[in-house]
Amino acid sequence: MLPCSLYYQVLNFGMIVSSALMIWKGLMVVTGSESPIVVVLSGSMEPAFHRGDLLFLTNRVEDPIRVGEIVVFRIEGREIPIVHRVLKIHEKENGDIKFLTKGDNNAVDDRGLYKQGQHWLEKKDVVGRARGFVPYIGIVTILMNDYPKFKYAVLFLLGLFVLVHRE
Amino acid sequence: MLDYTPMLLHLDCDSFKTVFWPKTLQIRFILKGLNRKYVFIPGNFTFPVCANATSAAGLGTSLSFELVSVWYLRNPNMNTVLSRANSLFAFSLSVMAALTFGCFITTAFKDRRVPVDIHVSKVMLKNVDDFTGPRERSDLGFITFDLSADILPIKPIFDWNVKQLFLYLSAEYATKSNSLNQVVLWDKIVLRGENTKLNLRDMKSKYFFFDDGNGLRANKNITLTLSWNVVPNAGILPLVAGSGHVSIPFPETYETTKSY
Repeated sequence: MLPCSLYYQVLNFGMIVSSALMIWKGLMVVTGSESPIVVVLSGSMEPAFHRGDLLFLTNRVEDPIRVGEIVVFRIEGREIPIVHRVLKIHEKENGDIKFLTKGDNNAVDDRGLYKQGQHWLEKKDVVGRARGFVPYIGIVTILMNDYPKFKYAVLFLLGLFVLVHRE
Repeated sequence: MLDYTPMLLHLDCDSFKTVFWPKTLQIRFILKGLNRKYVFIPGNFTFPVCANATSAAGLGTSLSFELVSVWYLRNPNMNTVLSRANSLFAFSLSVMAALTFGCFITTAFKDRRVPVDIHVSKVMLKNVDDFTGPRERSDLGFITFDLSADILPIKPIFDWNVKQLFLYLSAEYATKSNSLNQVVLWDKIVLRGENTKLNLRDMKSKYFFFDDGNGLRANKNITLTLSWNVVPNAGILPLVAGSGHVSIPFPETYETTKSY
């Protein structure tokens, strides 16, 4: 009976992982964004968003970028996405759009953050527009990033519980 | 004679033994005695302890019990504390999730438009090097405006799910090189609990009104709108435009004096 129950556990685990993956990819398709849920990492949008808040993003093509929207964008060459508000847009007739952003808690616009020589952002830099917001949930992600030991401890405990509980 | 019957469930423990715990983890104390088997599962889903106990000490030396448990839970007291903490934590998480969802769903479809009164008192135009960005000669506009809005009318905008309002005055216009331009001239954050009546006179714009090029001169139609971004405690972030806007034309000539 032992090998049979072991296969059962492995399959169960595989089912959980693959359904989580399906849900994530499904969300990516529905929202059109490559990262539909992000955690706010900096305090540049306070008092609206604090570190650790969760944002739900959409990036549909038929929804044009307009002033005042909160966009999450990535600067070329940098990994970390930034959550700021659109300050200015200039759109041409064919749909090419260039825009400028600024964080609510910053005194100046983001031109200092952009790449050297880059004055505007374009649609291709955008990860998504913030449409929904849940406070505090992302604190776990931030803790795990700032204190890697905590991350390893959590993973170790989870693995221990899975093994021991089902065994 | 100790009678364990009231707190036990009549379940067959054999199925647990064969599926979940291999024989090597079972601790068996089988002594002679009665054969009645009872199962004791202490009401939590994380650390199930399966114990077969028959009626006990009063029978003298021949007590018979069989304890099958997960190997690391030798101390039954620790099980109770952990299981209580576990269920308490799970319960509080689910209550908070339900509250958050309730906050979101009760205010998701609310109409947050409010009539706004904007009045422009002075308009001036210059043509200078755009020092905020690309160093080209662009049109720089100066607008002095008055704003009045009462954000708390009969249907209040601030309800239990609004953390703050981000107000911004934006100018929208079209030029020859760009079919749509929008520039934020002024913004303000109104937190919950702050004064909600807006009555601003002779306000200068907070941000420089640079055009991408020279499209402001003699532009007949610049529309100023006050909008706000409702930031909730949890839920949707809608952008609402106030229901009053004003259109102004820019002058035909540039101002060369150092005024403003």
